[in-house]
Amino acid sequence: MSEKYDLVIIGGGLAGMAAAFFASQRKLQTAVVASTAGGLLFASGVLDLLGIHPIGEQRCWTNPWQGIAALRRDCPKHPYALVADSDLAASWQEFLQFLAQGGLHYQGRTNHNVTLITGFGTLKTTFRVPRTMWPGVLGLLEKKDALIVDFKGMKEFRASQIVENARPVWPSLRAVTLSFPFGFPGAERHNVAMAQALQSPEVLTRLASSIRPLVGQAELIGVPSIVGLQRAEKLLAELAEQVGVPFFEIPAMPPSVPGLRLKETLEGRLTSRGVRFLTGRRAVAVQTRQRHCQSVIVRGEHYEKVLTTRGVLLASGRFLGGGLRAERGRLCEAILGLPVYQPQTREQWHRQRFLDPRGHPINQAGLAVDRFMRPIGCDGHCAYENLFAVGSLLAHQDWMRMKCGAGLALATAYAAVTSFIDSQ
Amino acid sequence: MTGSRELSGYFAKAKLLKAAASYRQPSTDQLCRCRQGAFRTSYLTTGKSLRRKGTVRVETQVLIIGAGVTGAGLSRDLALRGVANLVVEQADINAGASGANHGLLHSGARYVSNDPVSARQCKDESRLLKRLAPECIEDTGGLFVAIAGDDENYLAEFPGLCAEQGIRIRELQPQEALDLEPSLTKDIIAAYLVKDAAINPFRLTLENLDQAEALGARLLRHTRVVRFELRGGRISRVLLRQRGVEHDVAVKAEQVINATGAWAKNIAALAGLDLPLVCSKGTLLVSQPRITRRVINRLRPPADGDIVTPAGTVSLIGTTSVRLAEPEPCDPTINEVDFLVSEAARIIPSLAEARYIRAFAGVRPLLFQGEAAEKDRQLSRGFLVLDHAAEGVNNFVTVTGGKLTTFRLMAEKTADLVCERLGVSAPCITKKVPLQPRKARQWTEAGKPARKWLQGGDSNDLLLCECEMVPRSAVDQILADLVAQGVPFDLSDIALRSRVGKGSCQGAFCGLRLAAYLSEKKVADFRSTELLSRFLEERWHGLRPVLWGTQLAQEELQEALHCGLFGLELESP
Repeated sequence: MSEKYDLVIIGGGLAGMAAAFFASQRKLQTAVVASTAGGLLFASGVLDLLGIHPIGEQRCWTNPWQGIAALRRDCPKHPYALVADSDLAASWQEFLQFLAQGGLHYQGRTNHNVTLITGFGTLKTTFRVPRTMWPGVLGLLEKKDALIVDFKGMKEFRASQIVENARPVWPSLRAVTLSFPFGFPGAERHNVAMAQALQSPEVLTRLASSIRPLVGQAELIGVPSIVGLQRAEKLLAELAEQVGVPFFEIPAMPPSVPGLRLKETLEGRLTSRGVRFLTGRRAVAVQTRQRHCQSVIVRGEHYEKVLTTRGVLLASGRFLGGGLRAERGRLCEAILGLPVYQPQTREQWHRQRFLDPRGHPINQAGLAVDRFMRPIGCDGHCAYENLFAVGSLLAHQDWMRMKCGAGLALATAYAAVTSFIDSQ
Repeated sequence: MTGSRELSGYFAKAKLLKAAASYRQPSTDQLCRCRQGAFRTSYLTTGKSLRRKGTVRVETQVLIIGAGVTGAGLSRDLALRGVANLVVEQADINAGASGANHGLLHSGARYVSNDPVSARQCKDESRLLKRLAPECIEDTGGLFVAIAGDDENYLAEFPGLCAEQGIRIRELQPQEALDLEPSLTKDIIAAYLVKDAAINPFRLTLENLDQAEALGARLLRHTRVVRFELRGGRISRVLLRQRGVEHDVAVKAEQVINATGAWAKNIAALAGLDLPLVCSKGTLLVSQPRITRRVINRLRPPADGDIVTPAGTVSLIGTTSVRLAEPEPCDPTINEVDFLVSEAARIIPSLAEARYIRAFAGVRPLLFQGEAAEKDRQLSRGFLVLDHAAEGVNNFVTVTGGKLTTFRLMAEKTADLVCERLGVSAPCITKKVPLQPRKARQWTEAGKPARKWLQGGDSNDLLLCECEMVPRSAVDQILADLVAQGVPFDLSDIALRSRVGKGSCQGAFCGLRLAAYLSEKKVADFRSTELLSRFLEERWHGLRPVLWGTQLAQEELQEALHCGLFGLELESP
């Protein structure tokens, strides 16, 4: 069985999704092969552009564009150095607009980063946050009196812990624990199940009435990011109206409901635009001829398919995503065996301390690409003329320490799709 | 004493004595002294009162330094003889070699060629422990296997050497060995069944201490010996300092025992003494899942990378032997890990591709026996009880060397000497009195929580550690003990008493859940950001050298959460 596409994208995380969007926007016949539920299950929902640079100095940028300018000077190989500011800005604008049309609104301050508290009570600097989290950003700025709510049976999200850890920066927080207003078997409460339950107006009203008597002086109420799988903004507005004060969501541990909202919104809207999703399937090989990719072999259980294509875009992530594979002494690219930029020995992969602010050298490993986002082969030239690589798979970046994951995904996806079109 | 303790004071004593049927009733004097407890002051009965300023004075009969398995065994041995004692430990129980070993209860066969005394001791002690501490032991049996290319002279001598020491073995045909352990290599040329077993060193030490504490002994964890005051050829006072506590503790003890394993040299130095001790680092690997049912030994003179021991749901692969100048730092290295993988894969080929979730290293205290023994592998695994009276310190004894398997004997010999000095005539009864299993201690056992859960765990009991299935109720039991001891504790203290953090996530999720739980219960002594960071760093030492394959993907997720989302690497506000 064979299908024909303009562009086959391998990977269903943010980078793959963004690439699929940019491609569909430019009328390309596109397929996305995603072996797992995708990285979005682990995505907190907030979108970073650049938070920290240089990481060793822990310098935090209020204006990420200035940070990026400094980053390009200091790390000329960082993927941001391959993308012009105008393209970077355009990628955000197009992408956020698309999300907004799907009912997911993102907010922030023009050209500036914002700060919010995490589900652990620490601070996170990011660029754009879902509208459901925005009142928390303002609340933190103004140190408003706020009530943090958790539910019995949530093991990783404890309001008392958030209050304790955030106290130095947000002293006027108060913690309260409620029973989740819907009975599940057992004592454990899971993010996705709770989010689903809150879709019901009845459950939502029950939640509102259990919070109402506890409000007291609170001007704001923080809840874990589990308020609905769909229409979260509406549900929170509904809660706010019933209780009489604004609500905000706090990003929590995975499985992440805001991540799922992104995934479902993107998948739904892209499918209706004609993007083909092959989920639960693994891209096992790319067939090539000389310097040209011709097709992608996709395998599932009792299933194999050949996708003929004019271009291939790798958004396969790192070790967790399956884009990179680590043998005992060597890092490999998993699908085509492309050369991986990496430290010389395993001894150099990681530092002696896990939380070393300089980050682990292995995080800078990955695929080196040319200015068209094409992976570089052994001979120093692009490996294949129509093969592109985007997102966390790329070398010379540490998105976890630099807080640049979403920006990296959007910018490189945008640049790769543009290059592909220009080359056609 | 905590509320949950099954045994307490006098009744415990009575129960234990009953168990030792042939044992003569101790004198009233001894019993009274024992009931009085380790201290002649009432201090420490309410945990938090520890945090006073100034120096707290304490008196006890015997001060034991070191809460490894030897110190714990000593505390119990002495308590059973009616001798009040106090154990101090700079870190936590089993912080040295007692907690970083194969968990192997040796049949003795490993030492028949180069260390016959140790071989015989192992044979006798392992037989005893199987009877007295069955809850700490999985009687797996063991195999010695030789593969093509191994020293054939040694093969030929092995049965005779075992017979000389009275160690029973049974020869197997290579195919029989393969039927028993299908993961073994097909290159086997000889195989013998032996009576090796797997022992859980954490439960062993905790239960020794439990019994001692039930008889009035006390344990001070996270308490460092700062100084000995010497007067008239004796240690007149020992100054201690506790973690997170502002005051010092001054202990006046009639006898002082140095049971600090690889640290024995450093402690003896505080009394101006020099010990002929060598530190030998041994690194081990943890594979998940468990590879074999039995203990597998390579049939050759003891060397590196030749033992694979099952431990509940995992296998432990080791060891190496590297001379260190000091017992710390002692982290496993990447080279050692790589060496172990390739060496162990020669007897069990699948180990080349197995998933390793952790590595760890411990320091053996070996007795230096002159220049004759060139390699540390040739140094005796025997133990030594050193009476420092000969060197002018009359109430100071060091016990060191030895093996996990022989800890009871080491404690007996040391306690004999100390009791003679104290004028206590009560004999050792640890050969007869079994340990008293305690429920709270079962959580140290790999696989036990999961089995309990599957057998109908309480669904209202949240699993705080999902990899190893440790429920909140288990953490509550452990917390009750820790809170009662009054010494500030962190997540590592809980992890040591359970399987928390020991599964494949290595603390990434359970660490956060525990920190959250402590913060919710308001029993934490540290901020929860600090609790989590410390725990992750502690786990990191053992994780870093095994980061490839699946475990590296696991680590990436951990970093994405703790750094990417929570920014734990950044200075907290």
